Amino acid sequence: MTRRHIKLHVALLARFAALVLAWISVEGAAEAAKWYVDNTLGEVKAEEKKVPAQLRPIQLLFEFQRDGTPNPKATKVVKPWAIEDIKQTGAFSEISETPSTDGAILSIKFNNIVKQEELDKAKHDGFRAGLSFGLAGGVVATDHYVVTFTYIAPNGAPPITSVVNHALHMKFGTKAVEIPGTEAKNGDEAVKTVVRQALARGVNNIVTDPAFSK
Amino acid sequence: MRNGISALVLFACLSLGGCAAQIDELSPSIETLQLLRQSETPSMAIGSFTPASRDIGRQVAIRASTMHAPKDQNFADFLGATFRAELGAAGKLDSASPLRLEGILVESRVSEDIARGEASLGARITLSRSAKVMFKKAYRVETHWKSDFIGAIAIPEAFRQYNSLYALLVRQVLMDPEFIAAAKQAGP
Repeated sequence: MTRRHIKLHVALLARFAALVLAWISVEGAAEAAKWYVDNTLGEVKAEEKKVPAQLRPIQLLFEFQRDGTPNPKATKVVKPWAIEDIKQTGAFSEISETPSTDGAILSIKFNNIVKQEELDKAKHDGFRAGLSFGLAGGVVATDHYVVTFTYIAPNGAPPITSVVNHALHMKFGTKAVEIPGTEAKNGDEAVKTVVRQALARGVNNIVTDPAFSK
Repeated sequence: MRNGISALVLFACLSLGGCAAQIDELSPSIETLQLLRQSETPSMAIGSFTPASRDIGRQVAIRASTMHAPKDQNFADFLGATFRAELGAAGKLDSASPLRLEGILVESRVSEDIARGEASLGARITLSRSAKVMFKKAYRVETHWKSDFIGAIAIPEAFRQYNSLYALLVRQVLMDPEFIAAAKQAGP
């Protein structure tokens, strides 16, 4: 586990990951934690996927937030993944951060919601698990994401919006609990999968909207 | 071994304090972009952004950790760069425009007392046309949050809250009806 990976976890999952990291060895915690991508959203199936007949360029505005306020450190990490993921959807001819040739804009706000009651519980469980190096009990923490997509067409039509919910679960310790997610290889892969699935779904919702092709 | 040392250093930084972090670039907002376009605010150039005092521009500290501006810049420069990014994304940045936006950073503060954190940022913004001042106004934003006794949580959160204020201040200025009206009146 490199320092970059640990910093990434701290940036993206600051509250929960930091709790675990604070109580035991950083390296040990990061490696012992297991990461699960929530199963509710899933992938966009082939039969659901829509590619517009005419591809247009867009200007992308991407912001990672925590509780509705900017999280610039996480934005810096996630934005390159987001650009790549949106390219992979094949829904646009070009993606740039500067104004596009015809003025179309796609804004994505990737908001990480921290629920106070969950944070307090994670603190309590994390303390216990940390003191015993994960042998006694454990901590299961969930990061919730609300991703808001806004598309502004070049023709001045009203914006098209779509909101996608996703979640990432982290487990540390011996706690026997069923997690409604698919285990990822590590924290990086888990976060990348959450981002990719959320963006693929949101972009598909936008291009499927009847107003998009007008 | 090397990873172990790095991890220990990071652990010490996060839990006990004693590290330096650089402020991060902020993303432009769609709300500002839409308003600037819809209101037909004219394009403008970014002039100088200076700190009211050396201390204001230099760094902020939480416990034993500090946050500083990007290399060879102070926080006033960073505020100017944030305006530049927001106007650029809206297609309203033109270095040749006679309309010039400038500012003086007059307040830059972040603090926390384990239970509660607060940060504030203030600037005097000037809009001039061909060196003649057309608009001058003071702006201020502040934020409060629940802090934590664990440094690993409290320090990054305080810095994130402080960092975010730059976006909030820029948006407050660019979405201010008085500012937009003055820009339109003074613009080409």
